[in-house]
Amino acid sequence: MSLFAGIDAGSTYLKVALVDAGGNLCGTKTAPTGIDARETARQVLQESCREKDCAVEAVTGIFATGYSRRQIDIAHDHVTEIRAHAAGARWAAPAGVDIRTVIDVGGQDSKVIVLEEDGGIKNFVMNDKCAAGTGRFLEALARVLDLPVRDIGPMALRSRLPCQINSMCVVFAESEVISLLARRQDPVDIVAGIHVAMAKRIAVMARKAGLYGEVLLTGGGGLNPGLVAAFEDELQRDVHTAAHPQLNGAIGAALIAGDLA
Amino acid sequence: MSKRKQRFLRALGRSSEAVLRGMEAAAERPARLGYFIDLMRSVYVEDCLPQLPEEPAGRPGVVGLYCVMAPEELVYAAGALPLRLCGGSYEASCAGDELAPRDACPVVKASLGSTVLGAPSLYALCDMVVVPTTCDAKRKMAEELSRHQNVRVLEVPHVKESEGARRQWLEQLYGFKSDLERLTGNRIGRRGLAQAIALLGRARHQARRLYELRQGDLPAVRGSEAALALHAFAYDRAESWCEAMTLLNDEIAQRQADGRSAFDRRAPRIMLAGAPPVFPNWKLPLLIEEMGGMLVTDESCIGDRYLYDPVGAVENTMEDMMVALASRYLMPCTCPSFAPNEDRLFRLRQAVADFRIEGVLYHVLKGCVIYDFELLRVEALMAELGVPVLRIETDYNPEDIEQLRTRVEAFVEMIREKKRKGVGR
Amino acid sequence: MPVSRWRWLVLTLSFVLLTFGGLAGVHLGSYLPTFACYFVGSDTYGGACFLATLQMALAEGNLAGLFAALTILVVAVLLIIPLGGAWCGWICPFAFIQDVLDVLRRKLGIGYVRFPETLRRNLRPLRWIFLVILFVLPLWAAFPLLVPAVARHLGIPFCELCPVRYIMPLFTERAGYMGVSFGSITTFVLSALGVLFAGFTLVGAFFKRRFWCAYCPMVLLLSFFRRISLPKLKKDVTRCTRCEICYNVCPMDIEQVFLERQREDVTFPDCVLCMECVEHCPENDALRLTYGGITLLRSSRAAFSRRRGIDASQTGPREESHE
Repeated sequence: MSLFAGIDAGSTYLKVALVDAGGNLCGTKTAPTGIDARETARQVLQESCREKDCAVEAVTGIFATGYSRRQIDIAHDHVTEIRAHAAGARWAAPAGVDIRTVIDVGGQDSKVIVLEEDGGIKNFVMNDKCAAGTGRFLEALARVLDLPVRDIGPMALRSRLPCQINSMCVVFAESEVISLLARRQDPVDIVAGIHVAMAKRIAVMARKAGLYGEVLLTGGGGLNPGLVAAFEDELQRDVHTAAHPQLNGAIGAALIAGDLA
Repeated sequence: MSKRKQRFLRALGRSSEAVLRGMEAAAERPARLGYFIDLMRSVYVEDCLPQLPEEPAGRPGVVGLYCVMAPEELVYAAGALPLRLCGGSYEASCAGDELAPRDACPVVKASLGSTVLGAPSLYALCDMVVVPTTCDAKRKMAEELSRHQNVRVLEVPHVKESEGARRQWLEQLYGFKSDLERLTGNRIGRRGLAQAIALLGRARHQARRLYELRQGDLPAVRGSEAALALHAFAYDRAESWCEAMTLLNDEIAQRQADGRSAFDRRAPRIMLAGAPPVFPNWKLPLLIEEMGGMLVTDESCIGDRYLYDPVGAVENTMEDMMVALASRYLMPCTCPSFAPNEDRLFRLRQAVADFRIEGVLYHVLKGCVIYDFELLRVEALMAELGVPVLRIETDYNPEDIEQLRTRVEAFVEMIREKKRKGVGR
Repeated sequence: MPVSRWRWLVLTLSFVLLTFGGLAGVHLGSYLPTFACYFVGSDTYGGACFLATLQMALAEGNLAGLFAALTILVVAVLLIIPLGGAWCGWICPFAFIQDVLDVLRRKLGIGYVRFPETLRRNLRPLRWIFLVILFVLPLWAAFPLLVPAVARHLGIPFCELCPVRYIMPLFTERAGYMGVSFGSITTFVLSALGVLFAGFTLVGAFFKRRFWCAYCPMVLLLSFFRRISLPKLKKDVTRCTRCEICYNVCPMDIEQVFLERQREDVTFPDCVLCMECVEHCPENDALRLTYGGITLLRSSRAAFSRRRGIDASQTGPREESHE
């Protein structure tokens, strides 16, 4: 049986996904990228292969993606996150949903990818140079509120009237949150406000990219129900979440490696 | 030399040398490109102008030019040497930060920075600096420059079609002509002007030849290399540039006949549209090629558009030559400082056809509102032609190169994918 | 050989043929839609302008005359269709005179004068006035119901005003035609105006390219048939860079060719098909001359350079290119 591997060497975590020739996900593994992405990739791939009882050499195709993609020497080739996410999105979408727009909210950046009818990439917009609209934004503000990041999503859903956070900049948003706390606003509303602010920021990018059709949320943001709800409000349409949001890039790379995309 | 200037020149030299070394080391580089690399090196690294010999009678007058509306023919006919001053260095733009508002474009900041520092020293050489009234930033720059240099503002009409504007433009050129005569003490006569027109005509012919050669299926010269060679005209004498360019063109033609090229035949054919990349800001041209794109053309006023349009004088009369110059330096120019600027869209449409463009990378220099303004129209046109457009906003700061790399790579990848699917169908 | 040389060759030959052809027995008839002047004399000219014969036929004032006028018109139109504006650009003997004056000006290093748009617009009705004179005054002479004293002396009214009638006979022994006639008040007024026009035209044609053509009713008449004429000037609006060269080289000051951004057919009413614009257009195929749909001439970068003494296939010094 032939296996294909995708390695998403992100800035914080390195993700590996294995798929078979039928496009079924056979194994995944995540580990901190560390300082030597090359070595980490080797190890993580070895481990995931061991679980499947096969040798790394037996993997038919290995594709790398992510910021450190060029360093991964065990990979046969590399693709950009844009293409990997686009390929993964079609696979990861809930059954019967034809995804046209992919919103990826990662730890370091976020991107909106608009797809053609045949799944090819039609357009994309990336945010860079700034943490606004990325996972970092949520992390930093959760820290100010002294809350674990994983809790703020469900918490935001409880809000009736989210506070308004005007600043997109992490640093300024922090001081806004502090002054809201000083005014004794309910942290639930503040948290909800943070999600709305973030969704607003990314929605601007999505409109610029020419958003249409069904929307899929991938990346760490896909695990956050508060963010999904905020996106639905902001975009005024259903937002689906990927099956394995954080692994979407790795799965996409594996599918491209197997020419299954 | 002040310490500040020394430090500046060292930093500029380093970043320029890095770009030039990279280009020198590139595989399948035309050998004749060496002339242009060396020329840029002497200007940006060694800080000297090889084309300005110290003559016994004193050096010839030097006229600094901004933008592309001041006729170089008149400068040559007056016995002076024209130099193009639009700045492209990050170090200079930092030096200019304090002289211009934050939102001014880096071209203006870099030009101001270099002028105030007097470095590279060609900025300090100019006996006269000509600033055409193109965009707001350049106009205000002229005002600031005039505190340091002898500035001649050339009033360019912004509506080309009106007869009055064209007549006024012609008058401007007559005024410019007498200013040059006063500056150099030489009268610009019919014969001198005809010779200058012929001289630059030969240079332009070679620029046009390069343009046509690059329309081939597999150009033997990279876009970044062609742009450098054209850019070098800014600091060279037309004769020597023309000679070097003729040899380069011959080599390219020969290489193409032999089927030699630095490009992969399947590489997506990309056009760099929008704001001009000015040396040493070679960020985008090099990125496109590094990421596997075939940069086939640009629409830069210091690249493919710089020398493209010819002067169409037919008579040996002063009036006809002046009219021909006025036409050449105004009418075919597609700088977005003109409005309406439909001409640019027609030109882009033709370039897409001539070069079989598969993707347009739209360069927006931070602060350049007018190029950004026209993005919508260009996007609409490219949508009609089925050519994807990627807008990249950046300045001279190298800090964003990694982010840009991913975006450019994804863009190249996207076109490659499209092509693959198109072939499979 | 560039097309402008061909044009000079044809223009010179036709000047000689139409002005002196008669001496060698050449007679192409007097129905030609071009200013080969009738007053050069039937023993001398090799063919003459149909406007003179048309006016004479109209002035006869009877059915036979009207029928003759109609025949002349039909023949002229049949001659116009295959050549269109080329009658003015390539054949007209008076165009030859004007172009010679133009060359003289260039040789003397004097720049040309270009009238401002408003002046050109204001002078435009002049040729319509000439056209009315051409068709209405002969009929007045034929049926002198009003002021018969004037009508009787109209003669061939347009020709009496036409500068060509005073200038062209200078080339033959009929130099006596150049002058004011004192026969009657009518002839005096007409001939005085004519001499005045002739003087203006000679001086004008020296300073302004094709000075007379802007007022010539023949150009106007030809333009009526430009849609069905076979030669056409075509433009590829996308290839055009609007460099304005075609306007600068146009002796007729036609601005629309470079301004046009939609239509392919740019054979504007004043176009005399001199092909200067095609020859000097620096873009490949931006301008073309077609004949019945077949392209005869196209603009090119190479031709533009060649015209300026730059060999299109120019290469570097030989010994160096072999390095």
